[in-house]
Amino acid sequence: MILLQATPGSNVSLVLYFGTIGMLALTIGLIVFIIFHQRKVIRYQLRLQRMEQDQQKLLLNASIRLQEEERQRIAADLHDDAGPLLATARLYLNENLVNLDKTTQLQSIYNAKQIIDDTIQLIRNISHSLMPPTLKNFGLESAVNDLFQKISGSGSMNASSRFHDYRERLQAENELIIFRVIQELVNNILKHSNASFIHLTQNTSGEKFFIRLHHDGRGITQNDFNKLNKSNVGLGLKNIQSRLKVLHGKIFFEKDMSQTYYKVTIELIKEEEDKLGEQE
Amino acid sequence: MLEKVTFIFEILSVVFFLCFLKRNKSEGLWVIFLYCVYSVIAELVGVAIARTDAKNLFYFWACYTIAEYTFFAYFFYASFKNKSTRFIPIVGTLIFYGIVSFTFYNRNTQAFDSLSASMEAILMIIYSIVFLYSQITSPEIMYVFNTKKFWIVVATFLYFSSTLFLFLYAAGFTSQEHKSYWIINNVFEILKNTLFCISFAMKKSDNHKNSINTYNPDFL
Repeated sequence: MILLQATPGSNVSLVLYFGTIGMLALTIGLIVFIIFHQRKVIRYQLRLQRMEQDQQKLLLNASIRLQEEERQRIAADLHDDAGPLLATARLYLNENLVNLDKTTQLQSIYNAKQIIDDTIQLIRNISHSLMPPTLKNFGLESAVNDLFQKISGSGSMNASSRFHDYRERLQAENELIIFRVIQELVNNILKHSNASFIHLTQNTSGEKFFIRLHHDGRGITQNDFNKLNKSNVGLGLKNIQSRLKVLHGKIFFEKDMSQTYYKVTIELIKEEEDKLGEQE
Repeated sequence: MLEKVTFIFEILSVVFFLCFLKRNKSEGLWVIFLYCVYSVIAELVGVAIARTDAKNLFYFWACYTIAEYTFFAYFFYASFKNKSTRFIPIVGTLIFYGIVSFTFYNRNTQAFDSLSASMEAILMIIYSIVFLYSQITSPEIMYVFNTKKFWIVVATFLYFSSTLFLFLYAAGFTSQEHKSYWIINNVFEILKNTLFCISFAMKKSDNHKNSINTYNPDFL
């Protein structure tokens, strides 16, 4: 400042005018830049919003479609299996009214009883598929172990699970969500991977709760998962995503360090889980 | 003639604030209104002093600069929401008052307090840049140009950056030079007051409605 003030008088007007014009140009430039920059940021944020809306829409559609498919399956089970069984039992009992021969009557009552037993078993199976009793009564660990034993028992695949730190059960609703996610993942592995084994481990680290699935078949990576999530296919994966969203959980698909196994990690925050429980 | 137009625009900004009082309530613009009123009064007093007691014109302008700085510094301090940016006007004010005290005790024959005015201009430019930066980085503000404070700061920024060089040289001006160069100050004073009027007349911004933070992804 002092140096500028010491400039000889003849140059004053030149410096003054150029200085003022320069400062003005800089200021206007800066203001224009801010306005344009903000418009650019707004446009970017709006694009992000729109993308998230689209993603939400896809997830919602997937969960609606899945719900409908589940309903159709239950309806088909009831209509195709329970319906004919009960109709046959009715026929046997009807025959009882017409036929007065005691041995024939006993035979038809016995047949009707058998059919009713089968129907009871069928309805129990449907009910168990809707809500596994092991999960309800003994928790996630037992339900997962049960599921894996069944898979192993079929002989098609070696399945094992190990819960390292599951002394405190999660909220029942959340256990169900996690169980459904595991079911969906296992289902996908059985259907698409051609794996010879699946191994599930559960662990906690601080406030984080992890479930990790390993298998040696064909799998997907996070990039594939993201692509499938954005497309109209991959209904099961979208279902997983929407279920985990409820728990504010994350899922990661990756290849093992040795590039031999595929790894799926479900990550939940225990605190979030508690908060969700309190809200409910 | 230009001086009269400048004065009219100063009065106009006061009138605009009062006319749109409802729109300016609880917007943190009271300090700017007080500054506008003070400017009008100072203009009248300044003319009177220049006619009767020209010797003390230095002190009058120095006092005007102090008051002007204080109004704007308070406005910026109140406008900075971030704690880390709030210390900038505090530090700036300490420096400014230090310089003003120095020029008060070391005054010479000059009629204009160039050092204080230039320092004020530099500090205002810094505050304006910090304010604009904090506005564009805040996720709560979707459209920065929809806020009243944005236009106040643009006015301040334009005025002080355009008059910085004028204030730097003002102490050494002859009366003829003062007459010819002071046009710059008058022109930008008109521009500043016009932008103040725009800001006062603007409808209250409802930026929170459009905020990214309030965006509800569960609208479906």
